[in-house]
Amino acid sequence: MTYFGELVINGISLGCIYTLIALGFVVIFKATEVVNFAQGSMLLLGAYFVARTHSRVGFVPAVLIGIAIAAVGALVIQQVLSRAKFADPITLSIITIGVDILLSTELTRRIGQQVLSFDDPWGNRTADLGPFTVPQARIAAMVVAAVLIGAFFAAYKYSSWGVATRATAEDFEAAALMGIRRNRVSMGAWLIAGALATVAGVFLGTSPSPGLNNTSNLTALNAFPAAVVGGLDSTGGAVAGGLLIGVVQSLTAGYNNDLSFLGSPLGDVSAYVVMLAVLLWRPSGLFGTREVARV
Amino acid sequence: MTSRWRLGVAGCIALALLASACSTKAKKSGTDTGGGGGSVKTGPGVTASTINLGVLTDLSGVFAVLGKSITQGAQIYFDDLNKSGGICGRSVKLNIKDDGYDVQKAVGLYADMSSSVLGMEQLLGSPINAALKQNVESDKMFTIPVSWASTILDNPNNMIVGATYDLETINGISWLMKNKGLKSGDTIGHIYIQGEYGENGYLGSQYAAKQAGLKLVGSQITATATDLSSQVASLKSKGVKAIVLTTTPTQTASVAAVDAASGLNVPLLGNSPVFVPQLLKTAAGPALEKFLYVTASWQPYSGDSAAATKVRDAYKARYPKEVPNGGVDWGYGGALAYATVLKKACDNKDLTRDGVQAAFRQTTSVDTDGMLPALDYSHPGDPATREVNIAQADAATEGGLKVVAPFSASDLATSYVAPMHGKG
Amino acid sequence: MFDVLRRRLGLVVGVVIVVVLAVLPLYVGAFWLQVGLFAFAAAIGAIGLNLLTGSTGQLSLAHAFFLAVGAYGYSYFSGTSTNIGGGIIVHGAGLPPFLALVLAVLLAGAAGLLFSPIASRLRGIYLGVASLALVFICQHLLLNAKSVTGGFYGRNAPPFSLFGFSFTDANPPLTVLNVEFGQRERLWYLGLALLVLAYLFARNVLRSRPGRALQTIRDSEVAAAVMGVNVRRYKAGAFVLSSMYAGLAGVLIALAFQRPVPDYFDLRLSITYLAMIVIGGLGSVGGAVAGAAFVTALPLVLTHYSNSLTFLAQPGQNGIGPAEFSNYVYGAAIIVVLLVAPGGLAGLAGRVRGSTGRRRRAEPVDVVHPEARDTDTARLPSGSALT
Repeated sequence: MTYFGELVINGISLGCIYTLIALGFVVIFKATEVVNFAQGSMLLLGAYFVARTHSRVGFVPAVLIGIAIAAVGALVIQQVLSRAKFADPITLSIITIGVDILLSTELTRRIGQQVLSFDDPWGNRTADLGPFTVPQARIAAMVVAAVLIGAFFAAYKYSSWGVATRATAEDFEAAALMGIRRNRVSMGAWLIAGALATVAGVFLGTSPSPGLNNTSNLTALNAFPAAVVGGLDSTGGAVAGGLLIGVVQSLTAGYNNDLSFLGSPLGDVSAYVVMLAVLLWRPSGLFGTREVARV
Repeated sequence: MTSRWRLGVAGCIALALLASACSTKAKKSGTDTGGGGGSVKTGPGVTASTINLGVLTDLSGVFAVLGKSITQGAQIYFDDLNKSGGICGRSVKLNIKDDGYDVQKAVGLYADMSSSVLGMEQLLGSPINAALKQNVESDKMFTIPVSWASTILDNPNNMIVGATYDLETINGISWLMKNKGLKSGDTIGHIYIQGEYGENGYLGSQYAAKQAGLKLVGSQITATATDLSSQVASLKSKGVKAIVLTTTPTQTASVAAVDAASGLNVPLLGNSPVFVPQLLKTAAGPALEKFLYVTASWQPYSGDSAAATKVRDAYKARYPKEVPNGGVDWGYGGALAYATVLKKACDNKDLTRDGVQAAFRQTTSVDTDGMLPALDYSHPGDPATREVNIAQADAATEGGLKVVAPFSASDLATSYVAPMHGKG
Repeated sequence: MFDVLRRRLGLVVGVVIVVVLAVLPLYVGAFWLQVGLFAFAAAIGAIGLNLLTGSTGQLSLAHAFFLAVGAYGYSYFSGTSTNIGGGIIVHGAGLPPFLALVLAVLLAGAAGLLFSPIASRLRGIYLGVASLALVFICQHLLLNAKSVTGGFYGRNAPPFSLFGFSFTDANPPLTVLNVEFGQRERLWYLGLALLVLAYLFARNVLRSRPGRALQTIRDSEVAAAVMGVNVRRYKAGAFVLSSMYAGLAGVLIALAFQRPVPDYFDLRLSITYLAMIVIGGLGSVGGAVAGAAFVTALPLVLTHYSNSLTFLAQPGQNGIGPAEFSNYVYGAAIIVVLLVAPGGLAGLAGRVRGSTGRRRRAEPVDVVHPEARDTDTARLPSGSALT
C-alpha cells in the first residue's frame, strides 16, 4: 500500500509541474483561442536564463530575470501573431509551431550537452510526509503551484483584467464595443503564460531531475495531454488534467512490470491514451465548454 | 488536343536524345577508381597518395559530445600516423560528415560518400547503423560502428572496438559480487533504455543473474525520460542491493540523486556510455562520486597507459579549451585498430574492399599500446575481447573517472556465449 | 503556338519538369538519386496531407503514423520470416511486391478509417492535438510489436519488382543509353511515375464535386451542412484518402531506405510534413510537391556542400551548422508564409503568372478583389485559411 501511495505522491508532485505548463496553454487559449505549440520552448527560454544567471545574482533574482525574459519572448510572439490580420486560430497555432521550431533549435544548440543546474535552495534534500519521502523541491513545486493557481482564480474572478478576458472569450465583438482592448487582453495572457512556463521549467530542473538539458522541452510535451484532458479553456480543468496525467504516468511507470503485456515503457504513451479516451467521451475535454453549432 | 500531344511527345524525345548524348555518367564505370599504385591492388577511395575513409557521425544532435570527442581522438591518431609515413606510402584522410543523428540524412550522406571511400572509420548511432545495415553489407564497407551491441557482430563488415555491452554488464556484476558484498540470493535492478544499447546490456545482466543465482528486476524506459523516481521507487520496493544502468548520462545522474535522496544508497553499475564528466557539476555530483562505477573496455582519459598519456598531451595541445572525456581515448584506440587492419591489407598487397575484409579476419591481435586489451578478430560473431576495467566517478580526476580495477575478465564473462557466436 | 503556351502555362511547366526529371538519372550520381527518392516519397505524402489540412481544414499531426503503416505494411506483406538479429524473428506474408504495395496502401486507408470517427467528433484545434496522440502511440507500437516491425532494429524492405523486372542493382542488368541502371535509378522512375499519378488524381479530386465539398467544409462546416453536404462522411473520406496517400509515400520511403527504422517516424516527421504544405501553399497540390522538394532537399544539400558554405560551422566547430540552419529556414518560412503570403510558393507562382498574363492583355484590373483573378491553381485563402 505504501508503494502505491508513494507512486501517487510522486505523480501528484510531477502533476503540479504539468499543471503549471497546462495553465499556460489554457490562459492563452481562453484569451485568444490559439493553442501555443511553443510553450515548451518558452519554458526552455526562461529556465535557460535562470541557469545562466544564478551564479551571478543568486537563485531568486535569477528566477525573476528568467521570468522577465520569457515574458518578453512571449510578448514578441504575441506581437508577431497579431500582425496576421484576420487569420483564424488554427493558422495562428500553426505559426506557433514555426516559432517553436526556431526557438527550440536555438536553445538546444546553446545548451548543447550540458546539464544546467539552478543551485536552488532545496538541493537534494528530502522531507518526510508520513511514511513517504518526497524531495523538498517537489514540495516547493506543489506549494508554488497552489499559490499561483489560487492567484489565477482570484484574478479571473475579481480583477479587471480577468473580467476583460472572460468577456473577450465570451464575445469579443461585444467586449470591444464595451471598450475592452483585445490586444491588451491577449498581451496579458501571453505574459502570464511566459512567466508560468519559466516557473515550471525551473521545477523541471530541480530534484529529482539532474538539471536542465536539451530534452527538457520534450517533457513539456507531456503537459499537452494534461491541458487537453481538462479542457483547453478551463483553468480548473488544467489543474485536474495535470494531476490526473501525473498520477497516471507515475502509476503506469511504477507497475510497468505487471503490465508488460501492453509493451514497455508505458509512462509516456499512457498520457496520450488517456487523452484520446477522454476526448472520445467528451470531445472538448472534461471541463471544457462544449461547442454548439446551430444550423 | 492532338497538336498539343504531338508537341509534347516530340519535345520529350528531342530532349531525351539531346540529354543522353551529353551524359557524363555514361562514361563512369562505377567500380574501382583506384590507380593501382605500384603492385598493390586498390579499391574505391584509394589513390596513389591517399586513402580516403568516411566518418559519418553526430556533431550537432543528441550525441554531439561523443561524436566530437571520438572524431578528435581519431584525428590525433591519423595525424601522427601520416607524419610517420602513413599506410602503404599513402596518407589517410578522413571525410567527416555530420548527420545530426538523423536517419534520413545519414542515408543520404552515406549514398554521397560510399563510392569515394575505402571504408567507414566511424558510423555513429544505433538507428543509423540499423538503417544502413543493408547498404553496408552490399557495399562490403568495412566499418567501425559506434556501438558495442553484440547483436551486430554477425555483420562481417563491422569491427567492434572493445567488449560488448552484455560483457560489460556481466563483468560488472561479477565485480560487485567480489568487491561490494553482492551475494547469491540478492535482488538487483536494471534500468535500461529502449533499443539496441539498453537491450544488449540487459541481456548480460539476465545471463549473470541466472548463473550467479541473483534475482533480476528489469525496468525499461524511453531515451528521453529524466525523472526516474518512479522506477527507483519500484526497485526499492523489491529490495534491490544494486542497480545496473544502461541509460543516458542525464538519466544516470537522476538515478544517483534519487538513490541518495530516498535512502536506498545502493551501488550503481553503469555501461560505458552512461557517464560524461559534465554530470559531476550538477547537484547529483556527490551521489555519483559515492555510488557510480563505470565498466568500459578502454581506459578513461586519466588512464596510465602509454597511449592514454600520448592522447592527453596531444589533446591539451590541440584543444586546450575543451572538456575531455573517454570518447577521445576510444576514438584513438579505434583509429589504431582500423589502421592495423589496413596495414595488414597493405602487407597482403590488397587495398580493395575484399582485401580489407580478408585482412580483418586475419587480425588476431591488435595492440593499442595499453588503451584497450588485446583485440582478436579472427572469430566471427565473437567479441574481440572480454576484458573490462572498472572506474569510479571522481571530480578531482581529469575526465572525471579514475580506474579502480584494471582490465580483466571474470569467469562468468569467459563462459558467456555471445548471441552471434559462429555467425558472420 | 505561344498562345497555347500562355494559356496552358501550368501544363507546359509540368511537362517540362517531368521530362527533366526523367532524364536526370542519366546524369546524376548516387547522392542526388537518393535525395530524389526521398523527395518523391515526401511529395506524395505532402499531397495527402494537403488534401486533409489544406483543402479540408483538418489540422493533423498524425501523418507520421500513416507513413509508418505504409512502410511497415509493405515490409510485412512482401517479407518472409527472417531472423534479424538480437533474438528477434520477424514474420511476413511473402506476397509479391506489387500486391504488398496495394495492400499497404489499403491498410493505411483502413487505419485512417478507424481514426475518422474520433476525427469527426473533434472540432478544430482539438483534432490537431488529438492527432499528437497517434504519433506517440505509433512509436510505442513500432518498438513493441517486434514480430511485425522488428522493433528497434527495423526490418528489411524487400526490393520492389513488377512482372518479373526487379528494381535492384543487377537483376536483370540494365543499361540505358550507356548508363548502368542500378537500384536507385530504377526506383527513381517508380517514384516519378507514382508521383505523377498521385498528382493528377489529387488535382482531379479537388476540381470535381467532392473537392468543392471539401473546400466548402474548410470554409464553414455549418454552411456546408446547410448546402446538403454530409460533413461527417466527407471529413472521414478526406482522412481516408489522406492516409492512403501517406501509405503510398510510406512504401516509397521503405524502398528508399531499404531498411526503415522506427526512429524515423516520430513527431518531428509530422511537423516536417506540415512545414512542407505550409511553405508550398495550403490547398495547392503543386505547392505541396514544391514544398516537399524544398524541405527534403535543403538539409541534405546544405550538408553536401557544407565544406564550401563558409557561413556554416564546419563539422565539429561550435556555431550554426547545416542542420540548425535548415531548421531556422523552416521555422522562419512557416511564420513568414502564414503571416505575409498565405498562398506559399503556389501563391507566388500564381502572382507571377497573373502579372505576365496581364501585361499581354489589356484587361481592366479588378480593384475590389485583386486576388480573385487566378482560379486555375490554388484558391488563395484570403486570410481565412482554415476553420
